[in-house]
Amino acid sequence: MSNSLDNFAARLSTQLHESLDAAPIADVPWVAARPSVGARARGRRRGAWMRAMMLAAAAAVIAVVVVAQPSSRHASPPVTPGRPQALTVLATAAVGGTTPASLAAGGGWVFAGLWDSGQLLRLDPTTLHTTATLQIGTAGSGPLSIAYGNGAVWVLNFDDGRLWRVDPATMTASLKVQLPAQPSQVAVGDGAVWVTVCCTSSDTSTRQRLLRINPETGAITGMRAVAGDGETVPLALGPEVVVTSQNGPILVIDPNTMDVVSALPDVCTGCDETAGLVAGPEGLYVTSLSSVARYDPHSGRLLATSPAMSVVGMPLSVQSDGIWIAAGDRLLRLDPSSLAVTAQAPVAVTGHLVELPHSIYVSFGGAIDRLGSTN
Amino acid sequence: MSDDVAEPPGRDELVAVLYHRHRTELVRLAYGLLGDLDGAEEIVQDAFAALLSRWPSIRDIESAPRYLRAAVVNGVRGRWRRRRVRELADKTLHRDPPATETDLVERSVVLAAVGRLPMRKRACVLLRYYLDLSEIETAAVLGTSVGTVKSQTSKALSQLAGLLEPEPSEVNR
Repeated sequence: MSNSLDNFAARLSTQLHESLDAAPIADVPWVAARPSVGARARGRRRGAWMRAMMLAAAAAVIAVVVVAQPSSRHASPPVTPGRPQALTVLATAAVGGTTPASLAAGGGWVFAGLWDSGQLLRLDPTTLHTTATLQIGTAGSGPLSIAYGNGAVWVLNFDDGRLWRVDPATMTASLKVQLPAQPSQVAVGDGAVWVTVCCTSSDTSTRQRLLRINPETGAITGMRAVAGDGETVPLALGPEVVVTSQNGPILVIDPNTMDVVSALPDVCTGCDETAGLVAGPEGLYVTSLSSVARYDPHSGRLLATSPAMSVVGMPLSVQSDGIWIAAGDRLLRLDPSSLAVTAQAPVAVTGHLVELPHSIYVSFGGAIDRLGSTN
Repeated sequence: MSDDVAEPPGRDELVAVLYHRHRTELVRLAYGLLGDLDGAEEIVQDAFAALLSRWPSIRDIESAPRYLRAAVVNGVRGRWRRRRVRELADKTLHRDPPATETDLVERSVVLAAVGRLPMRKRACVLLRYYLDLSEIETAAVLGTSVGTVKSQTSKALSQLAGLLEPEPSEVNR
């Protein structure tokens, strides 16, 4: 940052403190502020409290309906179709730092990229014990995004601006590819490594690009400009390569020619940031204002919309058993077709998530959890 | 065991401590992001309600402030998005939007300028220069990369400098 902006930032900080510290904040005692008491005392709609009450009311309605069924006509026990399966924490790894780890799974391991320590960890998928460590960058600037594919772990190193290919057995780097701009996201599929980049250290203007990289040689074999103006450039691999950027269309890319097959405009009208994006056999999944939507990647037709939820955005993942998303303070699994909620777990602030059979791995600041069903 | 061994504080006691330490600061953060003091208080109330209900998944009291800040930012995002939808609907239907408490003219010049930034840039500015969080802490609260925080903050500062100190000789020296 230039000196003039540094000086401006110092003045701005002072002005913000003067303005916000002068705001007339009422002193509400803790007891009165607790949700149940506060909601009644102040007579306002309280988001979390009201949601809990609405859920309780919905449960009561369901109970009434079940009780009202003529029992003699149904010998089988009552069922509650669509009731979400509850998940529990089966193992936890304390990994330090405050930034959620990037996660990848493959080759029988789970891998974690730790931004705060600049390390790549290889973890036992059951116990989450660390079985090997590789220093990728420096503390506070290292593995930005990781992926597993072609028998290797692929790491975007923000510190040196390179893509690293890491042998998962020896945890040593076997290839380093210099990238033309600041890395954003990496994915592996269709016989290539796909990387999105944006900006340089001296230029934060909007020049997002999608790169196709040969996994054996590291040669950049294709490049496609991505419209938009976000520094984070989400990338998703499914039947197609899909990429987008803030305020830009979602581009469906032919992996061979890198031509744009289709473009979905305005899928997140009103969003001020890049949508969460994944691709699966049943379509493209995009986070919108307060839900997840499924689109046909070729026609752009809206196929399904999830129930309303507090969408965080990026922690969205397509897996064999459904679509996973961090929504507010819950981790939800959605049916890939209807987008109905089929499983959930309470989480704090979720960073990244990845799945192996029977387990899903979630990163938080300082920890990684393995979640699963106990039954 | 003797009776004078104090029991460790429970959930309610710890949340009460967090409330006393952070509530005012969080309301001011939400106010800076949203521009609506009543709305800010409600969002912070919701954040503490969520903290209470999700306490078992909070690792320790040290990580709770980050959870609260993230909950406040997400709460503001949700409310701001709903407001954007209403504005778009009003625009489509050629309706005059209702007057709100967020009229920028009623706020200080610096808050009015911050209010003109997109939400993520606004959050970067307030977390970095009001709460004095580091880039790493800001990235953790926003659930984004440090690179994004760097570039969003840099662009936001440039925009704010243009709004607040438009003389080229002063800003671009």
